[in-house]
Amino acid sequence: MSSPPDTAVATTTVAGAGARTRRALKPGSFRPLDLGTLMFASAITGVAVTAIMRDVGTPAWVVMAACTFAFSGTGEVAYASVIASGGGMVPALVATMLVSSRFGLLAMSMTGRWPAPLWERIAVAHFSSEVAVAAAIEQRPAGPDAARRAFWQLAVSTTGGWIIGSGIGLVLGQLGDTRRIGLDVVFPASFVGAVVNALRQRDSTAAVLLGAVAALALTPVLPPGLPVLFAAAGSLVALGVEPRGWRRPAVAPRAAVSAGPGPVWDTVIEDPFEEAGW
Amino acid sequence: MTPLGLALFLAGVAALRLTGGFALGGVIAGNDRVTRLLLLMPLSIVAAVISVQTFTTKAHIVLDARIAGMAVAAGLAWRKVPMGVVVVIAACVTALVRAAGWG
Repeated sequence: MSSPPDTAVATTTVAGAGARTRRALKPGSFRPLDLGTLMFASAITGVAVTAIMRDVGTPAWVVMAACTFAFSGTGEVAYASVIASGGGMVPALVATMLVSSRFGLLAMSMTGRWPAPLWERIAVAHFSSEVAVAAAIEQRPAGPDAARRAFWQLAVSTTGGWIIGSGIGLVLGQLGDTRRIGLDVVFPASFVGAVVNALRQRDSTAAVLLGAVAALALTPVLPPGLPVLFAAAGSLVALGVEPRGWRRPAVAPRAAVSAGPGPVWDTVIEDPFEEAGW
Repeated sequence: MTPLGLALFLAGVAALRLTGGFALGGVIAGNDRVTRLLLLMPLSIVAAVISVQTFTTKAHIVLDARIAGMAVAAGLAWRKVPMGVVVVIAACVTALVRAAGWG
């Protein structure tokens, strides 16, 4: 009887034919390095947010409870910045709810993506973040299992990093100028992949561009949080755009025919840009 | 944040998430048009968050080194470079451009 590792080695020798073998990732799975980097990025955010919270006199246990149970760093920052500018608790909470409102929409968009028991649905709502939701959406063509795997891998690694980072922040205090080492792009860069990938289809391109432009246009005139919330309405307009790739197919793509009666936007488009040599 | 503020903060965020995941999500599930909307909406939100974090500081539009970092990140992501690598390179590019004196 060989142990599992031995079996793996044996398979490698037979099938690998000298090639360096890496265990193939399941659909929706991320490399440990990616998850580690993301965890690190979340930890950095945690350190920064903790420092901001401590600055307005928040007790250590409140900081830890807030980051562990709410999972809304932007909400904490909004709260702290209202308090820091002399506002009271009510305006601080209003600001928090505004910037956190997008989590409600993100949680909504995760409903029914895969069959889930009640506890998992609650957990999904609690852990819906931009990174995890974007990855789940991106993995959707690979099936519900892939979407679920992507969601949970990112949710666990970012939450873990976030809580650890917040803890470290209590010990470290201020990090210094994190902008100098470019840490202000870590968060947006971690989910740029989903957005870039969405540009391969017409309707999702519209959703991305409208969202991005609307948020920018509204930022100077609305309080923080609201621009992103209103930008979500860009998807309503995008709904009117045809859900297909950029190149007009000469004949109906085979996938669409064999997909049968399924909705047309579920058709998996074989990367049109790959073909075009992009 | 006071303990009372914490309690209201936790309750508020949980309420927002559960409203989205259950009240809203449950009522509209099964409708094809809505299913498609739920696919597009996160993309709008995520794109909005990216543009706000790249092009604005507080309530102002600010064009600085972040643009360089994010442009490189977008290019790498298009080429299907792994996420971890994208993030590290984006931070490095931003830091280098800043060190060179822009933003």
